[in-house]
Amino acid sequence: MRLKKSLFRKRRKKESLFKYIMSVSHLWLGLLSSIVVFVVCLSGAMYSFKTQISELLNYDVVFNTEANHSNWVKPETIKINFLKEKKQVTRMIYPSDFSRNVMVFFHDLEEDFDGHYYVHPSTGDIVGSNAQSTGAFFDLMRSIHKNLLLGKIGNHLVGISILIFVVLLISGLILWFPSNKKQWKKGFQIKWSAKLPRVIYDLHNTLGFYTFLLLLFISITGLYVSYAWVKSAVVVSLGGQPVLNASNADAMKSELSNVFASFLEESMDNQVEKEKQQVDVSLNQLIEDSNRRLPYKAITTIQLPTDDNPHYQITKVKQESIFSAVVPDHVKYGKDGQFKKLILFSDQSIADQFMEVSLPLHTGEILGLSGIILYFVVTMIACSMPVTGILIWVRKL
Amino acid sequence: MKKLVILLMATTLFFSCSEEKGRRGIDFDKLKGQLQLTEDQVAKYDAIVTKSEEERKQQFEEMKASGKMNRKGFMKIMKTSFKKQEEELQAFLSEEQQVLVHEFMKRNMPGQSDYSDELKAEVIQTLALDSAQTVKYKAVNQAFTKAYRDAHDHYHGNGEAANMYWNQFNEDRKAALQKIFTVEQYAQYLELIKKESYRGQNERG
Repeated sequence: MRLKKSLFRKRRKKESLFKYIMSVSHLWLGLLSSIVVFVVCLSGAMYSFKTQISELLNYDVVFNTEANHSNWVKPETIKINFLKEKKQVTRMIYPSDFSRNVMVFFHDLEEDFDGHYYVHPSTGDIVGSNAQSTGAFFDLMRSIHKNLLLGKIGNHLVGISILIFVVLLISGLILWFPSNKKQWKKGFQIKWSAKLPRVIYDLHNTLGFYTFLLLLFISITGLYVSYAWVKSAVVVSLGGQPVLNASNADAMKSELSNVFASFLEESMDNQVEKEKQQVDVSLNQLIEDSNRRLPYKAITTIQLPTDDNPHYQITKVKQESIFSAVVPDHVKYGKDGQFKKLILFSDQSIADQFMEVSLPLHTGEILGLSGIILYFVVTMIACSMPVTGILIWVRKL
Repeated sequence: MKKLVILLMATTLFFSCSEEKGRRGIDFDKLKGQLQLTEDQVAKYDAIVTKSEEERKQQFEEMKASGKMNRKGFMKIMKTSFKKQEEELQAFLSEEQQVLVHEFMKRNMPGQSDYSDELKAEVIQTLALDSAQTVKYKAVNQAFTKAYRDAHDHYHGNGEAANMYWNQFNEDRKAALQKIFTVEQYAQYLELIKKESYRGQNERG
C-alpha cells in the first residue's frame, strides 16, 4: 500500500505540475533502469583500465627500467635481427620516450604464426612478450557492458536503459535546481556532519549535479556506438554523411559512388604497387623522412608491406597535444620507398574526425591516463546513483 | 518491500548468470536437417562435427594461452578447420549431399561478405580475362571490399543498412567492371554471379 502511495504520490501543495511530473518520472524511470545502469557503469569502469592493468601485469617487458639511455635502436637493425631468427617484422611501435620498450610484431616464417616481442629501445635486445593475459576477464567486462551477456536482447536493454539514463540526468538536473537562494548552497555541498539519510541525499543530488555534463557526454557517445540513428544524427549534425536508408538512398547514391571511386583509385595503385619488384628499402631513411614531415614527439608505428597492403606506412600519434592518445597522422610510402601521401588528422572533416575518435571519447582515452581516471571516477559516481536513489526512495516508503 | 528486494535480487542474479548464446561460425545442426542423412550417416556426421568442434576449441585455447590471439589467426583456424571438416564429411556422402554441403559451407563461411574466392577464380577463367583485365578485376573487387568495410561505422549493428551499403557498392562495382570487360564478358559475369545471389542479402551489420 505504501509502495503504491509512493509510486503514485499526490502533488504537494507548493509543487508545480512540471516539477511533479519530473519527480515522479525520475522515480519510475530510475527504478526501471537502475539495475542495468549499475551493471553497465560498473563493467564500463572496470573495462576502462584494460590497457593499464595488462601493462602493469607485464611490467617487466612493457617498461624499460634502466636509467641510462643512448640512442634509439634503428628499425632496420630490429628488422635484420628478427630475420636472422626467421621472423619477418610486420609492425613496430616506438614509444615517445625511453621509459617503454619498443613493441615488434612479426610473422614466424618457420612455424607460420603471428606474434609480438618487446625489444630494448637502445640495444634492440628481445625483452619478452606479454605473458599475463587479461583478455578473458576484460572480454567478459566488455560483453557485460555492451549486452549484459544477453546478445541482441541485451544490446537493446542496455540501449534503452542508457536512453532512460539520459532522461534521468536531465530530469535530475531540473529537480536539483534550488527553489530559493538559501537552498543554492545546499545544492553544491555534501554535509558530511549531517545524519546518514541527509548525506545519502547529498551524495545523490550534489554528485549528480557535478557529473551531469560528463555523464551526459559519455551516455551520448555510448548511444552513438549502439544506435545507428544516434550515430546518423551526430554525424549529420557535424556535417557528415548520414546512414544509408530507404528515404535517402537516391540522394546518397552519387556520394557513395565517389567513395567507391576513391577506393578504386587506391586499389588500382595497390595492384600496380604489388606488381613492382621488391627492392631493399631502408626503414631508417623512411623514419628520418617521416620525422622531417611530422617534426614532433610522438608514438610512432611503422607498418611494413603485407599481401593485402603493399605500402609502408608510418603513423605518428602526437604526445604534445591535450588529445594525446589517439590523434594520428600518417605518411605513406610505396613498396620502393618512394613518398606517396601525407594524411593529416587535421585535414579530415569534423565528422570523420569524430568518427575516428568516437570510442576514445566514450572511454576517456582521448585525454590519456588522466582522462581514463576522470571517467572512472565519474562512472563510479554514476554507479552509485541508482543505489543512493533507491535508498532515498526506500526511506520515504 | 521485502518482495521488491527479492525481485531486485532475482533480476540481478538473472543478469549476472545468463550466458550469451549463439555459436560463432557454421550452424551444422541446420545443415544436418537439410541433408536427409541415413542412420549410419547420422552417426558419422555427428562424430565428425563433434571432433572438429573440439579440435577448433583446443586450437583457440592454445592460441589464447600463447598470447598470440588475433582476429587473423582466429579466422585462419576457422577456415582451415571448416575446409578439413568438409573434406571429411564429403567422404561418406552421396554426390547430391556433397553439393549441398559444399554450397552450405561456402554460403556460411565466417568473415565472407563478398563473393567466394571460388567464384572470383571462375570469373577470371570463364571470361578468359587477360593479365591487364585480371589486375583491374582484382582491384575492383578489392575496392568493393574496402568501401564496404569502411562503411562499417555507419551500418554497425544495423542489418538493413548493411544490406543497402552492400547493394550500393555492388552497383558501383558492376559499373566499374562494365568499363573493363567487353559486352560479352560483362553478360557472362552477370550470369555467373547469380550463383551467389544470396551475398549481401542478409548482412548482419
